[in-house]
Amino acid sequence: MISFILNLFLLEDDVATWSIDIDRESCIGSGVCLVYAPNTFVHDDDAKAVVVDGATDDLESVQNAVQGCPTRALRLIVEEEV
Amino acid sequence: MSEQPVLDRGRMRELFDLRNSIVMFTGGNYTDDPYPIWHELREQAAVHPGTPHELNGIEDDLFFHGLPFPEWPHFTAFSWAACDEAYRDDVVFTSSATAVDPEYEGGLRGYESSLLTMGGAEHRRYRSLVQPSFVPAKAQWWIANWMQATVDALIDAILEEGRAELNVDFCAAIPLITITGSFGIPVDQALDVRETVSEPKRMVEFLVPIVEARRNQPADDLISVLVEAEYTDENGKTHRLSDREIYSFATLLLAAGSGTTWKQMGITLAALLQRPDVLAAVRDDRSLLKPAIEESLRWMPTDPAFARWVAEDIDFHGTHIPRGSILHINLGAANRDPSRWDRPDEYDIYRSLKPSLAFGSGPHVCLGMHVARAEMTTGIGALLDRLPNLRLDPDAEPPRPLGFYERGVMEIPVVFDA
Ligand code: HEM
Ligand code: SF4
Repeated sequence: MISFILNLFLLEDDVATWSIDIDRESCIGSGVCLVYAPNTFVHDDDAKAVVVDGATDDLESVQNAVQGCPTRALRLIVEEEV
Repeated sequence: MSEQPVLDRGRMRELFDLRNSIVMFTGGNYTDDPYPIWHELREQAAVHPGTPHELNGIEDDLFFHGLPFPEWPHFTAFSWAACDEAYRDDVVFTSSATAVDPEYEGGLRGYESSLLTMGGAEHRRYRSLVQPSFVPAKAQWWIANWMQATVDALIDAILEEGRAELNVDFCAAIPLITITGSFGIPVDQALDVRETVSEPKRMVEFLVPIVEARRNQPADDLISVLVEAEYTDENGKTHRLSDREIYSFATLLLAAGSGTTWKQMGITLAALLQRPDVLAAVRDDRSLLKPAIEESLRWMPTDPAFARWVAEDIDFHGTHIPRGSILHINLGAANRDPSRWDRPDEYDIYRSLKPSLAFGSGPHVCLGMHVARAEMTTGIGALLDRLPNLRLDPDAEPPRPLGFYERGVMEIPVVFDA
């Protein structure tokens, strides 16, 4: 399991810090998350999802990616409101 | 312009006739709109006893994934929640009859022991061998090697005619040549290979010399990737895929990846052509092509029902399903569940994007989804770029969806400014 921290824009220009856990055992490299949040997720050389530096998708896109992940390998946790 | 030979149109039309004898087995003569009945059934219960086609009033014996299996009880799931859950629970809802009944011999003709039917750790291991060639970052490899030249050649062939039939003469050819190309089979043999789609043994005859050649001297193609792929088993021992494993995977790819993408591209094109304002919007702003394709996958997935073999007794969304049953996941119905989408019957490319089940879910989620998306994007994009004022032929019958387990449109007659 690896965690990534990222800032996501919410409605009204609020920004919150979120973290995404990626369970590398469960990730099958389907690439579904790259379809819904293409500016957040990429694959590493083993075709496992990782989060890019400076991810720029909105919260809804990232939620779609998390929810769409076919093997529930992604978890999104709010850290703090800024 | 490209040098690629173009396929024989007459033979293409024969092989890709939606009403031909093979397609009839999956409900090719069904011309009704199945969705009103699916809405009704979903409102009554999330899960019903019966097969999808029986529940739609079709009395013929149809063949598809999980059919006919006459001696097994059948159930069908219609709601988003039930379909999504069944897809994700591969312990209860397995992908092969033998996972439930090891003695069972009926199986899925030709596909027992392929990626589609494996389970658990074995499936994960195989899938991880092939997944790297099918990730989004590989789309460009597929496009440059096998799609772009085909798309260009097909358009060159119609460019000066001012009219065309796009379903068979365009949509059907692209996925076929992409897959056979990735195997290293030349375009002029692609139709011979397609003829073997229901006879895996004959298909293998094409593959034998190629696999042998790539084992000696790898090239820049999929078979080379497969012969070089390695995995490590529980005991730390390294294995490569055997010739048989490669044949079986290649056969599955041809069956899973050519008819599906053809029909989905046709459905998407027809949906756009029948809405000239939407077509114009996509032509002017190419970033709308992605939502147009995703919405077509949600709104009318070409294969609306896949099956699972039930390994445990389970009370599932209000219906008791005994071990040893087959559950059909009606993802077509799930994709129009009003609890998830407003105005679910409308093809609306502007709705906010949400995951649908068109490519399945769970560990068996479609391996070729990014290849399919690349084919549709490359194909439809090129038509919009190169055929000015593309529109439906006003003098011809408008395209109409047909089929039950394999849905598509029959013909897409268009005119354009030559
Ligand atoms: C728009 C086109 C396509 C659609 C709608 C589609 C849909 C699907 C669906 C729903 C499944 C899951 C089957 C199940 O639940 O048992 C699946 C599996 C699969 N598809 Fe696709 N598919 C498409 C194109 C492709 C292409 C182009 C390829 C290959 C190049 C492909 C290869 C596969 C394979 C190998 C599997 C089995 C994966 C596994 O069991 O792990 N598909 N597809
Ligand atoms: S959607 Fe899930 S399984 Fe697919 S690549 Fe992303 S994290 Fe991995």
